[in-house]
Amino acid sequence: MAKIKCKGTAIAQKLASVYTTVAQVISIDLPEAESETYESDTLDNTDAGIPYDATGRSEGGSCGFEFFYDPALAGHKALTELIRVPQDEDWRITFADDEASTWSFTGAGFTLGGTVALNSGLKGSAKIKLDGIPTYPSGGSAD
Amino acid sequence: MQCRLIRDMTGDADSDFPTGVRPAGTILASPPHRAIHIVLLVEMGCAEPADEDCRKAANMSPERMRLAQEAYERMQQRIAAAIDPDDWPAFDAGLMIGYRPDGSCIPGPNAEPEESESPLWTPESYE
Repeated sequence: MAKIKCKGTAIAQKLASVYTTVAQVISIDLPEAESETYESDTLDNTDAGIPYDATGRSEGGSCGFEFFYDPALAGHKALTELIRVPQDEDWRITFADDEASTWSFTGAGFTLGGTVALNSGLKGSAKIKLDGIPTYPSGGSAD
Repeated sequence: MQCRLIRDMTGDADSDFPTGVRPAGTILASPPHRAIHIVLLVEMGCAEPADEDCRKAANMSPERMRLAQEAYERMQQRIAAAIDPDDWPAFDAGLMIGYRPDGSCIPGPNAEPEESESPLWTPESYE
């Protein structure tokens, strides 16, 4: 058991079969995956509580990250390229633990924006809509 | 369009690369609709052109490629050392190489030596 520091965590985009680290990332919002449920209450249920059951599906959610945006940087051009030519893209988050554990996933959709403010450097923000769920260190599947 | 990796890079494990690592020298190709990926790898400093199409598309001088390769290496080092963005200039200049557990900087090879405390002046030392 350990408390893992966040500095040193990296998100990488797969280009032509290799993962390239996105430069100048400030923060990452991990995909908020969720196993889907449905309300399974019935008229003859005498309990007050509303029961739920699993549908057997899981929603992968979205992954976001913020970075200092450099419009001339090739790695950041790879992000705008995803808007210009929308396509599935593979991503990998590598944590700063001793094992360099990873979450890998496929992105189906991509959102890119940014902030220009007087009191800060030029920042970009991106959001990846997952196709399936991440492959977790425990051996979960991205299918 | 093809490029040649100039550094070991990680991909997904498959029959050709069981560990996932594509060693430096590996030729990468992309289908036409993703040819830009090949060019971007060259522009990022991860690869060099391996055919004329890539060379033309990247249109980079040897000097520009060298700078891109150095910039990528520098970024990898920053991430590996978990350097805060505010400290990137100091890290790049070799003034610091990381952090101590208390958050203070570990001096780098180009840091000025920390001033040692002056010994207390005593009448004997004056003699």
